[in-house]
Amino acid sequence: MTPTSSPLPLPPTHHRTGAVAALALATLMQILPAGPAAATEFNLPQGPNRALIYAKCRTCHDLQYVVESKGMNASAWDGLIDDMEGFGVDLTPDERKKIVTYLQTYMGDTPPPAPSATPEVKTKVDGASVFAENCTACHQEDAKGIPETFPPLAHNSDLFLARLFPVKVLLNGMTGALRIKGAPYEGEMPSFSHLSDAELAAVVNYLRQSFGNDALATKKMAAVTADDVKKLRQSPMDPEKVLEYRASLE
Amino acid sequence: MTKDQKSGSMSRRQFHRLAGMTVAGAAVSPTVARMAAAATPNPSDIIAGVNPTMIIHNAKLGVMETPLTLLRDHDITPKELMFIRNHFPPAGKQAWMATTDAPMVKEWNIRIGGLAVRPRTITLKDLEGMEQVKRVSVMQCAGNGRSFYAAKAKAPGGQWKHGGLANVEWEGVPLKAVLDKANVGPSVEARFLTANGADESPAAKGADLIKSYHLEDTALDHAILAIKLNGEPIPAVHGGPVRLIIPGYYGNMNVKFLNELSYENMQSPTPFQSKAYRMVNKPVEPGKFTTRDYDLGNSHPTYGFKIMSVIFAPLAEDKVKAGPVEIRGVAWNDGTAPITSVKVSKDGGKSWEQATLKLSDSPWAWHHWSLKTNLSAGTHTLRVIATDSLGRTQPIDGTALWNPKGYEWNGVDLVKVTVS
Repeated sequence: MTPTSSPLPLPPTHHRTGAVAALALATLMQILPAGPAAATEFNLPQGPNRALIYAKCRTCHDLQYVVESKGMNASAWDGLIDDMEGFGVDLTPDERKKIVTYLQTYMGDTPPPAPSATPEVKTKVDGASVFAENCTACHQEDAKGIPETFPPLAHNSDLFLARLFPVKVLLNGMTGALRIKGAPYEGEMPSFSHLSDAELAAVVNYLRQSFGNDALATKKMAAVTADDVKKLRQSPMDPEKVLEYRASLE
Repeated sequence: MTKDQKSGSMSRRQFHRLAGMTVAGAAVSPTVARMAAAATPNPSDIIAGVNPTMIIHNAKLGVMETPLTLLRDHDITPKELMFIRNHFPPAGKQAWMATTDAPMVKEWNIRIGGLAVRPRTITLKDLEGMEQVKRVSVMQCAGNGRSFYAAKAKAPGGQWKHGGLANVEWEGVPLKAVLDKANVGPSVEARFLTANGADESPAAKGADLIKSYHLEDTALDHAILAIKLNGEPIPAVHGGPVRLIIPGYYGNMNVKFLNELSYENMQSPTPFQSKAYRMVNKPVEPGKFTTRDYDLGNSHPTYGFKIMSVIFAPLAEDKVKAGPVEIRGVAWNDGTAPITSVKVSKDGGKSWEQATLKLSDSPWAWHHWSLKTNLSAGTHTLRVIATDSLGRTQPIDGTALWNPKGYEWNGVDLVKVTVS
């Protein structure tokens, strides 16, 4: 297998029903805000700092709680984040402010601004920042994770199982009975497909060079590009299948 | 067509597959809307064994409520229809939470200590060897009915309708008998009994769900350490292998995966005791009092159920023909006083008729009521109100008890039915 080949066939129904299904999903998220959906896949309104909600809230619960709470007034959102900090979400004052502002603006009791045609795109993407903003709520700032719950990203040879394996994990999430070096990890890795191609590529490249991971590379691997990520988006996988794929690489 | 699609739903796996594909600005057409409605995850793929029509509030945590159209079919709620509200899985036991099968447990220890001279551990085997008692009782989420508060101001979290409600039979050993047997020798300073379970927050700085009860709380006289639900070992999603059951108390007070009881001189400092699951002592107004404003002085834990009654039939979904109709449902309270009256209105509350109330043997169970009457063709607004022997009753407008977290809803129920 070459590093860039797609190791798994497309889901069998993809070509036949993909477009319709995608429409159905987009519609579901728009018209059934209080309706059921699988963990981690809620499509929150585009707006500044939207990704922080995905980054900080999903450690404990999926975003249906946020979606079902849509319509709360500004002071209620502000008070609620105090509550959540009590329960364990660890926010810097700046992150707290950004999260509260996003929720008050886009999930509040007044009509949100008209959605912009294109998602927020950062002009300069830096892997260290992507990691700090999106990964540390679970994997921790030192990337050491939490024993038995969230695996370390430091000294983690998973990053080199295959050139695009980490991208697949980021795009699709990974669920099931994960064991790394014999140790079980029960936390659920949600999808981070809401991040841009460039951000996802940058964070993978950053992690491969940081936290002692550079010493683990068994062979030279070309850096992941935004174009790699873009292509992989076309081949979504079940998060359970990502774990099976991981097993096939070990 | 797969089996899942036939059941009007789809598997989690299928859903994720769709979820990976996003299309911006998709047009909404009735056809697509219908498909979208079908594209929901199947609750029984999230927790094997639950009814596939359960209403999900959080798939990650397996939080789901019961549709009343099914809840009404049983006096004792079967486990596949029992609502589920969990905060975190027990440490290392995520797999327990994916099924309504009871966990296979060989050993389970409950430490009893705190301010005690002889702390000790009792085991599941110890409990099994003691005299068992049964408690048929309502289990109800403190947030049951939260969605109805939105008429005044939206409260955060799962927007529960009436389906965070069940009536089940617990079986186990009286708490007092366990404490007597353990004989740990509580200190004279002890004022609270604190219960902790094996669940743990995944967050590095996550708070633990711990509950404290006043030692003199008479509800503890009826509490049991339950090891069976409806005659079978308790599924972990309902708190097995051992759950503290305090009949008549809101769900969160009934600690799941119980593994510690301790005597304390103060209530647990966890925000689950001091901030969350609390009811304000006096009415408050949206915008003027938020979730951050709770303290031990202005609020109290969500102890006993407020008196409540719910219409089970007819519901808005039912096809009702003009003529004789039986309006029926259930009523319940905290079990400390019998319900004495249930009245039903067919005209939105202008006039009321006494319903026939059939009290259950257990004071903590729900009690069925019914009214045989006639409904003419057209739209009718049905309402029901219960009163108990202490004179406790329900507010006509439940939002009068609005609180920032949306707990303890007991507003007079309202069902609009169309009769043809």
